[in-house]
Amino acid sequence: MLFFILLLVMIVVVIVLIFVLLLALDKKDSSPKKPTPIELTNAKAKEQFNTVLAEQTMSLQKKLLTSADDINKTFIVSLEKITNTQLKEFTAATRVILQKTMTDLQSVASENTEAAQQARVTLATVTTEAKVTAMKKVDSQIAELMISYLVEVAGTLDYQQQKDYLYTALDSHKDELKKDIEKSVV
Amino acid sequence: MGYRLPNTFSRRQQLERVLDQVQKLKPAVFDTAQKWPLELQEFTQANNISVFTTTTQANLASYFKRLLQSAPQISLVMAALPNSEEQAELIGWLRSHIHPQAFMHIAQNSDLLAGCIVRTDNMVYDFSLRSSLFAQSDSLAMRLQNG
Repeated sequence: MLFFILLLVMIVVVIVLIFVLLLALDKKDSSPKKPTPIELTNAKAKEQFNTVLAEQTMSLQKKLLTSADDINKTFIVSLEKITNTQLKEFTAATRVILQKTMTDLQSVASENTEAAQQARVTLATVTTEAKVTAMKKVDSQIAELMISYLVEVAGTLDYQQQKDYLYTALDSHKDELKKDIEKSVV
Repeated sequence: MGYRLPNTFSRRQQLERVLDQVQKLKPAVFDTAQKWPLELQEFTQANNISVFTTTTQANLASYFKRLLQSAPQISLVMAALPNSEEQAELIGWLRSHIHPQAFMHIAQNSDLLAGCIVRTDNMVYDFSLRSSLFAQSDSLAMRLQNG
């Protein structure tokens, strides 16, 4: 009899324990989850990506705005290159002329005579002429580059846009044209 | 007898065509202006001719032949081509200021930038903006250097 009572008590205790265990497990499932280490890494990576994307977009916008400036800079750089090349040639050419002239005139240049005076004047003239020739070459190259640039940019002028220029040009030379035509008509 | 050249007649080829039209005009249509070729109609309207006779036909043919022999032709090389109305305006200017019977021949060269090159039998006149810029290249270069 006692055995059966003890057995019954044990069964009840086991049931109660199971019940308590089930309750405890249920409580654990309903509490909020903490992020896993992998999830934490992905969120940080996403934030970093968005930051870099914003920075690159701003940088690209700035580049687009300055591209018009770059075109002007390229034109000016081309002009500078031409000028520097010509000036170097000018300097070298002048040096050669000077050396040659000095060799030829050195014997009389130091003497205080009429011939020496003439030699000095000739020397000055030669160097000035060389300078003028070199500078004219620089000027004409600069002008040609500028005009070619203008032709490239403005080459699509239509008749209406240039009509005034055309009639002004014809009007300013109409007397010449009239005389020429009258000569050729029988 | 003098006739008025309408400004729509700006090219020698038109003159050649209308001479051909006058010479081939049949008496049957002498009094029916609507049946005349279009270019002939333009010319006759400008000169208030509404009815043809054999005399009119002969006079006109003679006039056109004389024009073909003696009318000056001015060649224009232009940066941009004018349309037909603009051509009429241009030939009107040439006939008012240069010669009343002038005809023109137009070609295009966009390198001129603006303006034109005028060629007559004796001379070439460069009124292009391109040559004007190159002629001023010294002062242009100086302005560039001075900023």
